[in-house]
Amino acid sequence: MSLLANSSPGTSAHYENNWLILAGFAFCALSAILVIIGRLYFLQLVRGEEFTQRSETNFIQKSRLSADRGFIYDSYGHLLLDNRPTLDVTITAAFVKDQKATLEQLATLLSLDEATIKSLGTKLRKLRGLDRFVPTLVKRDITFDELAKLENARMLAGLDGVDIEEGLARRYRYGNSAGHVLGYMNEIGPKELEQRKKSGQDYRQGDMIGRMGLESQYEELLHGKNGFRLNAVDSHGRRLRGLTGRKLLQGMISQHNPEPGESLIITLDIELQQAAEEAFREKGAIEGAMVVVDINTGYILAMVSLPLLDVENISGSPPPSFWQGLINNPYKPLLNRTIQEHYSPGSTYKPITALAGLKNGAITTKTKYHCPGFFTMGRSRWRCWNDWGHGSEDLHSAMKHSCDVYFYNVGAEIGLDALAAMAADLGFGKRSGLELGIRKAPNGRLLYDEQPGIIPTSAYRARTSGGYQKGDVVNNSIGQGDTNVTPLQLAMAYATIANGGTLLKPQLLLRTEDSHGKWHNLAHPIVRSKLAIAPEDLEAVVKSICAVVGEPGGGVYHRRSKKLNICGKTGTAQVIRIGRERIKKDEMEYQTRDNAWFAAFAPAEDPQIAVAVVNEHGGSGGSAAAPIAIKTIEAWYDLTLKRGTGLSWHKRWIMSGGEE
Amino acid sequence: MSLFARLLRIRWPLFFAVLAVCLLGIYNLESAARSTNPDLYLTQLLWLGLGVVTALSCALINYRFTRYFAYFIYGVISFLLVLTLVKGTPINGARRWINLGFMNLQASELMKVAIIITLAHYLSQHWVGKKMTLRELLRPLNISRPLAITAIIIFKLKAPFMLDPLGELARLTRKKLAAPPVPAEFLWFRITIILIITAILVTFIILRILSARRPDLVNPVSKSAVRLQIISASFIALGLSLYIVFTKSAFIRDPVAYILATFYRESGPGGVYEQFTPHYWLPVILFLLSAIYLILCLLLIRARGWQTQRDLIAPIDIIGLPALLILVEPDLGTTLIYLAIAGTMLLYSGVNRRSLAILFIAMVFGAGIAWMGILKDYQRQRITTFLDPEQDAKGSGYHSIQSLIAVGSGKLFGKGHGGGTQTQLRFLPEQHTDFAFSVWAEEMGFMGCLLLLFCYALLIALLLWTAYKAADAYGSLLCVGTTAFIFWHMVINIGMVTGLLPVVGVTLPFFSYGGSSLVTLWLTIGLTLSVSIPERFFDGAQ
Repeated sequence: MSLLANSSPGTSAHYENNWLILAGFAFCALSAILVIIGRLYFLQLVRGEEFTQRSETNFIQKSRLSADRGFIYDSYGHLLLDNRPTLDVTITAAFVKDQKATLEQLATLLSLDEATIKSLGTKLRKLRGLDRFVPTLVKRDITFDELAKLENARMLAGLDGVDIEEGLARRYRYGNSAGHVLGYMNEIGPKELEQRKKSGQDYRQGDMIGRMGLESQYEELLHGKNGFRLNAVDSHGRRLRGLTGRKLLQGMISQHNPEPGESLIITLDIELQQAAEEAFREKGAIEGAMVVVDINTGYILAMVSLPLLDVENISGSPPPSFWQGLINNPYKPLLNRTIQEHYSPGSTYKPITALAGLKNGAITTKTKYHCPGFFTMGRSRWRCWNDWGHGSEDLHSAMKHSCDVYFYNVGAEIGLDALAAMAADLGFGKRSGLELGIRKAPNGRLLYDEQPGIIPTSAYRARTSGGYQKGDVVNNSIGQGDTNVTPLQLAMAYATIANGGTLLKPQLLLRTEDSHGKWHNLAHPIVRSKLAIAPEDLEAVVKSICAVVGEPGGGVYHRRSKKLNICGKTGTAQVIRIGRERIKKDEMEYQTRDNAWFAAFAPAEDPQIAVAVVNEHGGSGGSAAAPIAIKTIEAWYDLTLKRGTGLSWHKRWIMSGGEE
Repeated sequence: MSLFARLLRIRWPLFFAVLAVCLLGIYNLESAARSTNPDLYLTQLLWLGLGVVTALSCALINYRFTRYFAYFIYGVISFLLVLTLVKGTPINGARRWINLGFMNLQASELMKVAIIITLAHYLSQHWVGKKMTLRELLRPLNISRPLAITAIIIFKLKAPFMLDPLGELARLTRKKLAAPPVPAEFLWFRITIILIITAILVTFIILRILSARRPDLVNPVSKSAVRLQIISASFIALGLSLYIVFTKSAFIRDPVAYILATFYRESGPGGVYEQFTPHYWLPVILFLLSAIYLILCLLLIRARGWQTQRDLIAPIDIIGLPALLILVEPDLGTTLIYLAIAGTMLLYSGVNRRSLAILFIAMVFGAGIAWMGILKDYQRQRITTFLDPEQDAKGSGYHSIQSLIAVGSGKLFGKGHGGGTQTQLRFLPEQHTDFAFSVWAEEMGFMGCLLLLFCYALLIALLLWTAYKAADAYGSLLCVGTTAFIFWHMVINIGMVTGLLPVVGVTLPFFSYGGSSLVTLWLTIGLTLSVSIPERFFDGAQ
């Protein structure tokens, strides 16, 4: 032993190791290691599968491949609605350096209003974690002008986090034409999103969804099935390209192609539709509606509602001011007047009264009534439009001259309920069943967009203020009073009269076509009911309607078409109660002017189409509505001759089973 | 006997067990750092070489020499810890590293060795077979406690003085200093540090040479040894003064203003001092009290002579000062490791049951106080997150969950080297340091983990065997300290990674990346290797 060892205290001489504690340490260490092994056993072997799955979802990002939305064609193959690529501006919170400045700059570049910027700002600030790497939409479908400005600013100021992405938008090939029928799309709301997700549909925040017309009605068909692609991403959400990414996704179905939506081929004839809209425009109509329907099939050939809806600009995300403008517009452009509005039909209702009289035996085609210019019942007196009276009139002449007194008499003979029964047989007072009129909400409930109209019965009148009175029928027999019909109902009723008494269901969808060219949902004419009336009686009524245009003395004779013979009835429906003095149209306030009606079918010799036109506050039916209808019918005639398909194209198409 | 003979007698299985863990660690690092810094494993290989050399040279000298400058090393590294707080490079809000230009020095790692050596030295002096009482654990009079209080006060001031006292002073005294010559300052700073380290090495060498001829040096309480310690301490003082003199002259110009400025804070640009508010004078009074206490201690030492110095230091203080300094960095993990090492060593040297119970209760209270007063918000959040990591899966629970996913998805055989998706796609946090084990578990699976754990078990067993076989209490305590160091690091790290313990920044010994840590660990292993050499091989050396 050296000095070194001996001289220090606590050296080996006195030292005895504490072996018990050392053994205790060894035991503790061993148990700790065993605990760790136990934990690893639990994590890696018991829960290994679960963690493996979680590690995969960690790096696999499922990105959606959106299905192309189906197109819409008219029945002659004109493309009405397809998709076009858009440029959308997005912002990614994680890459933005100075959020406030960036948003301010975007506001000036893209002319966004303050509210939009504010809500965007709060949205961005709320993002946490990896969500900050997901781009947020700033503005959809920017113009090339804005693109140029934005690119310029990006070059100069950087604008970190702002990106331009490609999207899809609907392209209306014929502008606003048939806008109410085609409808529009905009962003899905949070409630609807939830409902659609619940029913297993693939939608997510920011998706566009059909909001009106066919876009909304056939959303499921048009939408198609979205596909997906798996991407390998790192912890920052950056996509791994090349070999690393491919290796990670080995053995997985990395891509599932989307199935494009089905294309709709609709019964509309866009050229006829345009002609109809043009006819309205020429007349300077502000509000109005027109339905052109094929009488043999119930297919709707044109459907106009004025004012036209600016569908091109509604689609996407228009600024709030645009929406405010639409909602506050006194002419209610969002309304599809052909089904969503009902009016007093005025004299266009007279054939229905005539048919009711004939059916009930109250009159025959030869029955005559004297028109002194007014009609009295009890102490009440109703005026004819012609204060001097028409003299003695039978059905034919009364219809031709539109003599009110004749129909007052018929109405008084048969009573209100018999009139209502005939109206019901012709489809009034109930929804026609057009697809556009019924929507199925995501929760399965049916929503009706179509007005049923009002056909008063004695029971109905009893419920209203004043109660039922015997004289109620008088007003209603000339389409005034409580009687309210939609333009579509009127067109369908005239079609029924023209085709020999078959009430058809109006239809818009001809068929759909999937991406492989296969046809689905082929439409067939659907008969709702047959009119129970003697053919010769119907013939007499048809003849009397034809006389209005076709015979000298008829209300529209001097405006008749030079190209073909048309049968039709005018109507001038009062919007307010007439005072003692008749005043001229131009002296009246716009909102109190009469609604001008014309309902027709053509050609007279072999009817093919029925038309109902209402020109709201247009004045008299003969001058404000009939020319529009006649122009449209002429256009139809010209188009048919030009195409060489023959007049009853749709009839033959259906006969051949849709093969032609 | 030649050095070579000693080299043959070291416990080679221990050496190879450590080397095995290191090599597994480097293999793992090659994959873990592939996505961020693919050459990192080469750096670690270099550190491993340095570590092995350090360990073997340590093994060859007589470990008993380290006793002579135990307190000296302790003092120097305490100074480095304070410097870290003042001059450290802040990373993620914590100052843990001193930039030396060529490397980042983590003084808290070196402190672990200092604690092991100092505590082993202290406890071996009391190795009399009798269990220590609380009175012995907490000596009534000692120097380090007031020092610690002062350190806390300075920290609690949270004034800019803490971080840059000289710059603040310049602002306070309105003596407009031009933009500080940063490069020069850093140069002097580095020179100071290097000087201090050189001082340690020189002392080491002098001791080594002198030890054979001057046996009185061997007695750590002998006059010569004390003188040596004073000389070493003066090196520190020299370094400090050099630093002050050459970096800023404000202190020299107006030392009174400098000291005053430490306690008064400038409020607002007007430069009005907030004075006489409790927030500011309370620390001043505490500081003065501890200063009086310190002077009293020094007077006592002078009156009784240096022989009584062992009565002035208590084991609690040896551990308390660095633990507090580290806690304010903040570095909760390292603080816990210090306490764990010290606790293990105290347990080994023997503490009576009553004292143990009292200490335990004090610890519970201390934890409560720490929770409320000392822990930073993020540290508190980590602990609440640990209790329920899913509550904030993308926030503070993120690390914990990602690590669990990595470990769990490894299954039996793992995803293969370099095939771990969690690792390669960087879902794991700190994957080359704190979460290195997650990488290993993911890529090597359960079997790989068993292999690694077996290596650790072997390592610990061999260390405990060395402790058992050691010739004296000091050697045995060194081994136990080293065992505790490695064991607690391993348990806390793997526990954290596998979700058994909250996330604290503790590395896996020999396995995680980190130069300071690796060299420190090898240093302690070197000491234990030296302990493993039978005593007779040192007898009559030279």
